[in-house]
Amino acid sequence: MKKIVLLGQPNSGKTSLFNLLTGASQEVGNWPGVTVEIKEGKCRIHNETYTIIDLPGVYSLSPFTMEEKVTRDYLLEHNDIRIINVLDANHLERQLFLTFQLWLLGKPMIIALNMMDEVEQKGVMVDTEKLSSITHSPVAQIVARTGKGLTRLTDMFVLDTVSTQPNHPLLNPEFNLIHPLFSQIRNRIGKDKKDSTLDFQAFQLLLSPDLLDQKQHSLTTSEITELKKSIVNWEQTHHQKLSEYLYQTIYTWTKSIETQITKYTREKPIAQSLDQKMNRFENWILHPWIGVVIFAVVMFLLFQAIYFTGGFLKGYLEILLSAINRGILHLQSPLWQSFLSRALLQGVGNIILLLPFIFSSFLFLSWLEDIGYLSRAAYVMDRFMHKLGLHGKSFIPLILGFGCNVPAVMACRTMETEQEKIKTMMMVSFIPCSGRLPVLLAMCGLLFPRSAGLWMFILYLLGILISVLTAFILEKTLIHSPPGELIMELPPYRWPYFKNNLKSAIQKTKQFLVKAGTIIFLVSVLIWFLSYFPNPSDFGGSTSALGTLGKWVAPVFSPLGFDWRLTVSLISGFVAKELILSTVSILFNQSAGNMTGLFAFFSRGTLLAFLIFQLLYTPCLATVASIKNESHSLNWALFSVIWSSSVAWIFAWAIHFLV
Amino acid sequence: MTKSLEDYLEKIYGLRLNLAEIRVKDIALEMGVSQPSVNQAIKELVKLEFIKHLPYSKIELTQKGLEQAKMIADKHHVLKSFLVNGLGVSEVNAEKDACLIEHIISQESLEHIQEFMSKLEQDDCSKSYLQEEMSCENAASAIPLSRLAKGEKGIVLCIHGGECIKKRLQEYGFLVNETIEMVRNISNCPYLILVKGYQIAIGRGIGEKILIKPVETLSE
Ligand SMILES: Nc1nc2c(ncn2[C@@H]2O[C@H](COP(=O)(O)OP(=O)(O)OP(=O)(O)O)[C@@H](O)[C@H]2O)c(=O)[nH]1
Ligand SMILES: [Mg+2]
Repeated sequence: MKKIVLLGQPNSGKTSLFNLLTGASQEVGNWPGVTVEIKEGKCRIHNETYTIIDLPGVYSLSPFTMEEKVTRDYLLEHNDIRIINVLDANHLERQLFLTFQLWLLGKPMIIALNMMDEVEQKGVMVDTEKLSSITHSPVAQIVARTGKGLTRLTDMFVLDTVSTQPNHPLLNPEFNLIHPLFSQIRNRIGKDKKDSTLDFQAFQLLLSPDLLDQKQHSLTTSEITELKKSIVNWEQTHHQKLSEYLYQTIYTWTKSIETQITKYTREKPIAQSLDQKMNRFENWILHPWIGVVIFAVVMFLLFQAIYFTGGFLKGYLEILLSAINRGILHLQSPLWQSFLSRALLQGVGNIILLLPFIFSSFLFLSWLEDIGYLSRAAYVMDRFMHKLGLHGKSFIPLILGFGCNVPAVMACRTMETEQEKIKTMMMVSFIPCSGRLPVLLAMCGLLFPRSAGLWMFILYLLGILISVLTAFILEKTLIHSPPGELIMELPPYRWPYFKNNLKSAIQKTKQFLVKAGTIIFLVSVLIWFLSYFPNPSDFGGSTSALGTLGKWVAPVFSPLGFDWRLTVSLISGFVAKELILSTVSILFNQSAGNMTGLFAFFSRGTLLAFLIFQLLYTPCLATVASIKNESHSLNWALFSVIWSSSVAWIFAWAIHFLV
Repeated sequence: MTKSLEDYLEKIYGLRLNLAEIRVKDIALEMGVSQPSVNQAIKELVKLEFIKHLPYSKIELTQKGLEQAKMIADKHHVLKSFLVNGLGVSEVNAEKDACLIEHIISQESLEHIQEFMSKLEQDDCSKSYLQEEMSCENAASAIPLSRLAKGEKGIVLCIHGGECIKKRLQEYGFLVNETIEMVRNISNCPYLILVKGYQIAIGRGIGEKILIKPVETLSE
């Protein structure tokens, strides 16, 4: 099967194109560094199946961060691939910089000029024919958001064009100063093998002999030392740094192409883009203080929007579920009645009842990611993050954590140092994800019926506060790191493409439903089973199997005022956060819409302590696993479990004591 | 040259990056000493031909002075980064200790520390900007990025710092001779710079390493 790799600078629209080609809905967002992992998908064109591969965006092929290494290594390790180089046609000069390097790989390449809608709106025309003749590659203009121009691009898949070596611009006269050095290295590494990437490797060695690891080239350490000597020689002869010379000459080349192939057709653009309109507000948005206030307001509005839309949609589901409930009550068999109403309706149904909230939180987050605000928030927060030994970039995973902690932990790959990465991960695990939403909603509705939305916001703030505190303590104790420095591109504002936001929200909601149908269902059944047997008349009582088990663990939580049933809920919540609500509903026979029955068992103080405990205690199993994967250390995964549980315990204890 | 003269020279060099012109009172203020004692030191530095004393008590480094000062500043930087990044000493104490050590350390020890640090920083890109590499030839006429106000343009003259950070900046388009525009320059916040049509936010620490020439002076 033919493999086609999507490559381009960050935020150029690779994943948008990937989704378009494969029908997937991988994460798209308007900031650089959304994709951190290799994603594969299939696409069928002209009766042929292709494997499409989406890689993290890179500015060039010298690897600095982990996700850049992923891309570079993939390219060097796979031979039988074709490349689609996705370019943001708004800024060809910088975008073509990568094209220059990809071309050296000597692999079949198609150039996709993306964002043509924006380019056209600016009144710019791009001469694709000319670009094609300069680069010896087919060129297509596309709008990866909407799919415009897609067929012209896919038609090119069947062409077999390999940009042949002699044409590479590196061999042009403007690069003649390095020709001797280049061929010297090329001959050396190519002594005894045939490999199409030799040119590329030679170029990389010239550019950064230090940065390459041994497996990328076949030179010995002494040969590298020799190479460095020749570079120093070269630099002395020509009175400039070799890498500077290379960068400058490549940029001169890209600039000249840009001028050759673009021309303004109109004096003025048809309409102002969102980016131009927002320019007026930029002073406020990026203001050191006002910017922070704006961020708080944005988050608050986000929560209100989630709460409002979710509540609106929830009403319909409630009607449906109560109808089902009435049906169940007609059943004769007490076993079936108990099973269906408890395990199914209370365990799974209650979670599904809150589905609208989850859906709308995904929808609005996706909207926020797409507009281009996240990088700005990161910019504003940079100076605060410095106090934690971090910088603004770490802020983006934190916001992603509101959706789900797992991808947020993975987003920490864009951090440059190990210390920053670990610290950010530890922060992420305190950000209340959408899985904690169901319990939060139900409990806030119960404890603060009139101002539930506001209280949810406050609780989220508490989560953030503890997250910051954690990083602060880590900075002062275990991982003190000299503050790294921010280098980050601020993307232009773009109107979110609502169709894609909706698609992505639906996709994530589907995943959530799958989770409800599998893991949540299974654990609910298990909880029901252990409550029902051996003594159906004492359902969920102290003589049930669950009661016997639960009482073993309960003493740990009895200082907080929790009984064994709350304890069991918390334990099941470790599997998936939604299960806290399921288990509480099953054991106390409550519905998520109205849990006032809980007051019969607990005081307000205890319930509040429970609410705070579940907000802060250990991240779910999936998050812990991904912390372990990403940090390559079981210790950090355990640390996050133990630390967060201890913090939660102390907070809950204090509240139980005070209230 | 005495320790205190070295300190004066280093301070003048440091001030030069931030002020358009340096006067005796600036030095006194910065070092927390009286103006007469500054005058005394200045006299000696003039005698050594490290600085020139211009009218209106303005001070300028000579070529010889510039080189000497660079050497001292370089030493200071290497030592400090060794203390902070190599050993984990706090910024504040590292700064103080580097000030003391720099006057007495032997050339050999310094070279070894330098070598050690370059090994340490090789695989850790974000930090290597701390490793100063004072090799800008045209740095004498350059000012640091921080002096560009909002909306002003400058031409990059050189980028100090380790290879690694340099390469990253170059990838974003910060090349020698590139014209860049300051979009935001507010103290404590990262700079926001327009380069090759993109807005790039860069931390102030890195920003200090980019030396530029304002565009107006070019047209004169
Ligand atoms: N106007 C316009 N916007 C686009 C187009 N293609 C993508 N976008 C937007 O550009 C942004 C980046 O798109 P992505 O597909 O996430 O870019 P990417 O190249 O995968 O980015 P990384 O994964 O960060 O490297 C998103 O906000 C998209 O909605 C296009 O053709 N026109
Ligand atoms: Mg992507």
